[in-house]
Parts: sequence; structure tokens; C-alpha cells
Amino acid sequence: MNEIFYENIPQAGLLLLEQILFSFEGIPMVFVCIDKECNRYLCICDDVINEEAWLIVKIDDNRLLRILNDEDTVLSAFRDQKVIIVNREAGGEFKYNFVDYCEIDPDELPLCDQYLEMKEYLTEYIDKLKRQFLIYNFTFDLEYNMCYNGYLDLSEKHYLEGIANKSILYAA
Amino acid sequence: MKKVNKLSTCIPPDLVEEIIRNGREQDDQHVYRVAKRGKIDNVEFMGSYEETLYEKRTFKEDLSLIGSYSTSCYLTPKGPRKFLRFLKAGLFKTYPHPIIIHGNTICGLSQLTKERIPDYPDKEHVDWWIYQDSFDKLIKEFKVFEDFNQKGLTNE
Repeated sequence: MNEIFYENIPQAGLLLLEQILFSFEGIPMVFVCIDKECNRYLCICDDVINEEAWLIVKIDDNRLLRILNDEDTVLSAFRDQKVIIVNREAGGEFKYNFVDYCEIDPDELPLCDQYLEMKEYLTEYIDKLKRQFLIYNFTFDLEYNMCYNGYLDLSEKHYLEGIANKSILYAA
Repeated sequence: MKKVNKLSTCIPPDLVEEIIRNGREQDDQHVYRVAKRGKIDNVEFMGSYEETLYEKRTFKEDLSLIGSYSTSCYLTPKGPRKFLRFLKAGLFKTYPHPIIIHGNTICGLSQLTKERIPDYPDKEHVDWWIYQDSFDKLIKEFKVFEDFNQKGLTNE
């Protein structure tokens, strides 16, 4: 069972820890949480010295996969997004603030915009995400012909129903 | 003969035996470590569990594992650098701020974590269980390796 990482985040509720992407000396520094609707949130711990502090952003699987595969930096997920800033003083309670990324004081952001560089250790998690977000580049004559830039999100139930009835499917 | 009674008092006695079985004295092993408070003092050589208590954080690791009581260090500065770069830039505006220090794993027992845990995700992580009353020697042994400035660049 996933561990509870954050409770009662306004607008998000309970967040459970799904996967640690990078930890240092037992401290999860970059990790993924999920809410009760299985939405994913990318979290960065950017202070363990003065207090505990985290930046959290809701993230879709496509963007998360790009970060896991070092195609984008970790901070790229936060740009132009609504970010949840969480702070906790030693032994204190969690405090939450919602801020647009562009309004965050640069001193509150990670020192460097770096790549995760952990993909060799995260192959199982990457495969799990890929199974949930199947990316095909194909041609078909289905009734529901909805493509996003040549890719189709097969996690939507009605797409799966449509494809199950057809035999024309070419994987990229 | 290994020194049985000189490891940290916060380590449960049954785990002391396990540490002695796994660790060995490696005085010529060169390692890197993050000094979070920017100083080379006793606090910066605390084991993970002890440090968590000192910082009043919640310890999330398994207390039945010997790694929870070690002082973490690394064979290269790569891991420490990555950690520092995720910390907020403002932490590097004031002095002292987190730095990377280096030295040899004297005065204790150490083990490459991957020897004990083959699928441990960091192949450069070393567990170092430091003998009690050794900190004066460690403070002399370790030196500053890298000092990040606010832009993430080193001052070396």
C-alpha cells in the first residue's frame, strides 16, 4: 500500500507516494505522488536544512516520461504551471501555498535546472507508465479518429473500445 | 581484532554485530560527503538516523537496517553535486551554506552499500560507521572539496 506523503492539500486532498525518482541519504528528493483519482504529481524537496520544503506540480504521464527519459529537465514540469509550495518547520505542521510558477521567487527554486539522470534505475516504473500511456503512430479508419499530434491516448476507454473492433493498427 | 564497543550508542546492540560482519576498516578509501551546514564539525559526520533526530525530522527508513545508522558518503562527488543542485538557490546566498567535503574513511568501518544490497540504486554510496570519540581526527582529515555559489557554480 502506498505511503501517505501529504494530507489535506487544498484542491488535491491526500497524496500517496507512488515512486521515488531520486533520493539522497534516505531523503526523497524527487518523487511522484498520486491522488485518489490517480492523478500524478511531481514533487521536488528543495530544503532539508532550514526547514522542509517541497515544490509540487500536477503532471501528465507524457511529460513525466520525458523527464524520466532525460528528454526534459525536472523543472520543465513546473514552468507555466500552478505550483503547490509546501513548507514544514522542524516538528511543525505542513503549510501550503498555490503560486503561478512565474511568481515564485527564484531563491525558492532549485539551484539548477537539471536532468534526472536516473533512468537506468527506473526501468520498471517507466515501463509501467508506458503501459498506461500507449503511444502509437498509426493509420486507421475508425469512427473516432482523434489524434493529438499523431499520437493517441489509449487510456481513454472509448478509444480502446473502438480499436478492439478493428484490425488496422500499425505501431510506430 | 575489530573494535566492538566503539560505535555510536544509538545503534542497537544486535545491529552492531551485523555492522562488524559487513564493514571493514578502510583508511585509504577516499570519499565525498555533503556538509549541509557548511562546516566541518561533529554534526556533519552524524549517522543518518542520529542526524534525523538532531534535525527533528521524521525518519522514514527502516531502523532494523544497519544502513540507517551509517554516515553516508560517496566515491565521487557526482551524487553530492546532484543533491545540492536540487536545493533552493536562496540557501547558497548566506554563509555558511552547504558544501562538499572530502577525505578518507578513517576511524570506523565502511562498506560499499551495493556489496550488501545488490540492487541499491547508487553504486557509489558508501556506508561508514564511525567510531565514537573520533571526531577530532575527522575534522582534521576532511577538507572542503567544492563550494557552490548562488548560480550553482563552484568557487574552486
